[in-house]
Amino acid sequence: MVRYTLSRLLALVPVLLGVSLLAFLLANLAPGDPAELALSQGDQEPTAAEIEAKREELGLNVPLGCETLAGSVKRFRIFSEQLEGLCSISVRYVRWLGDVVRGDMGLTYIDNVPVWPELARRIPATVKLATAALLLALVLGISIGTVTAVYRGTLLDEAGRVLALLCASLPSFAVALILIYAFAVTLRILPVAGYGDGDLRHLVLPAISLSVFTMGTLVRLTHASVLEVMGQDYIRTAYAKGLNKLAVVLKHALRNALLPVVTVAGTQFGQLLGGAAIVETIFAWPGVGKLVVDSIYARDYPIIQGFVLLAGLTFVLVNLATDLLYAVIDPRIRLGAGAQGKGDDHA
Amino acid sequence: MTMPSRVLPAAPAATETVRDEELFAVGEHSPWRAARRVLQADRAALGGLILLGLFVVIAIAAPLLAPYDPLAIHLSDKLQGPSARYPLGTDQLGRDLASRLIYGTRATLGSAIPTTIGLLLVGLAIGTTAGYLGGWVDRLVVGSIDVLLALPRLILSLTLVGFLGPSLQSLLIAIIAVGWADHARIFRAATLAAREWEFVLAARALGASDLRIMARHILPNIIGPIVVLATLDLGHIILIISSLSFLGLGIQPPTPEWGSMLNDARTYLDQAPHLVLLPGLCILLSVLACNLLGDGLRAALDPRSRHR
Repeated sequence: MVRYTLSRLLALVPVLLGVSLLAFLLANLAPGDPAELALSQGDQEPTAAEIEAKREELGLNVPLGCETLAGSVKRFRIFSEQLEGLCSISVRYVRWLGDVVRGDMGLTYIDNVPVWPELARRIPATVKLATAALLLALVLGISIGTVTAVYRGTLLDEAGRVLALLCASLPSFAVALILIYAFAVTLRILPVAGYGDGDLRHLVLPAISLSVFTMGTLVRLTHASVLEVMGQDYIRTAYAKGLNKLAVVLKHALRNALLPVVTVAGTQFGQLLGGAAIVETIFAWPGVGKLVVDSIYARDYPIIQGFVLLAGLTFVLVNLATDLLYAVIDPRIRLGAGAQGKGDDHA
Repeated sequence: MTMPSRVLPAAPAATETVRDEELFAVGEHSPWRAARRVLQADRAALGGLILLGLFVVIAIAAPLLAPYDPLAIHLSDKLQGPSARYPLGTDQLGRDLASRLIYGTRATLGSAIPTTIGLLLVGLAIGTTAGYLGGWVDRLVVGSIDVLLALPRLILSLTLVGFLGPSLQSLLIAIIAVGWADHARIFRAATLAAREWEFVLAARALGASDLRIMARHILPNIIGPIVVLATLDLGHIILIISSLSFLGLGIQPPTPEWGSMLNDARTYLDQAPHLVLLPGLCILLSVLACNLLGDGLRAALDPRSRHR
């Protein structure tokens, strides 16, 4: 198990490096000069000298070594400029990555405050929302999926199928607006928006809106998985030794049928983070998602960059946790027999 | 009638992604016949096809169907309910809702269908090239896929649009730049499997070129699964386009688009709920149509569900 954990941890390093490279390149290849963008948030145009000073501060200028390097291959003419650019961007990436690893993601353009604390203080609200949504989706998804599989071919099964299809076809923002209309505007039993200082009534509508899509996915998955397991020999054996349906389903079928559900629930958590951007915006929920949407409008690149890193890190860690949990539940994986199959499906 | 050609090792979990690859692992001889079979047997899939067809007709015939110019403002008639004059009522600027929904179909499908095709082509090109060439090209592609799949799709599209600046063009670039990884992964696996198909080996033994093998032998055999993917994708892409447009990061106003119409209507939820419900219904029905059709076709091509 230790060995398995270590190998999974090591496999994360290149992925995280790739994510950081992506975050770095996005901000650096985006249109507009970062120094100019950082300065032109006020009313007046920045002067050339100010921009030059800011370029120096942000480390945007070509490092000395790169000029020398490019100069030394001047005789190849055509490549020296590209080489200088490549060298410059590599040096800047390494410097930036060094800062990021030490927890310094730079300053925001708008308020000129450090990026990381801005993101960090909004994390709890998003985690609260995403966790509530995931729990809701898991509980409802697994129970509906199981019941519809056990009572296959009945009206209940049909209803479950329709529900899952609707969940997969309705965008979260439409669900949110319909819920707001029904519960906040018409019935007036739940608040329209806001965080409400942790009052749980404020969490209800956002969590439901966010969970709908994931719930639909989990209903379908659980349904298919339970159906498959129910056809196995050991289920027939369990029936043959005289167990009733409830005991067979709960003790023998679900235990095995839920394995794939665990994996997918992990990846769904990442999707929830994406959905949170929309749901938080609608409900004025003070989380990371709302912050990033606001930053996109304001072209505040450092925050978007920090958010990509954060999302990548979270997603990767949640997947790791899922893999480890999976290995705990299913001994085939940590003992290596299932390793090839598991590795190949994304290799 | 099926090819004993599975070279992918069985994965322990029956996750959806694995199913996608299994679709390709079996050479279905006539996907079109399979499609006809499923449409005859599966009412829901047929319904999806008809509904989708209806939306396409509405999108094409929008100028003939719309009673008003979708951008024409009639301020004196704002926020009206359905009436003889305005069949579905008017929005906050007195624009005819029916006309806006009809033109919205055009905006949504007009951007979603080309994106779906673009996404498939990019994924197909990268995936088959990586699978066929192998070596460092393959390793680079697989590495990039791993990075892209390590980030939630919507978030990446969202941030890409953020860096490119909100517009329809950025939206399409963002969706393709983010989505290709999923497709490339599937097509790469399919190519790896297809390389071992006996008739491909036979074609190679007869001296057929790589390009000919890919175009004449492999592609026709994976066209069915491609159609399934495209159908399910279209639904996803409609959802993404409307979500980002809702956030103001996609199709820009005043162009009528279902998602951005919902965003406009948000403020008037208490006075004119139909402004929210009707565009929402359009999104629901169009995505539902894609899902119904896609699921039906998938079931027809999936050897496991065929025996059920």
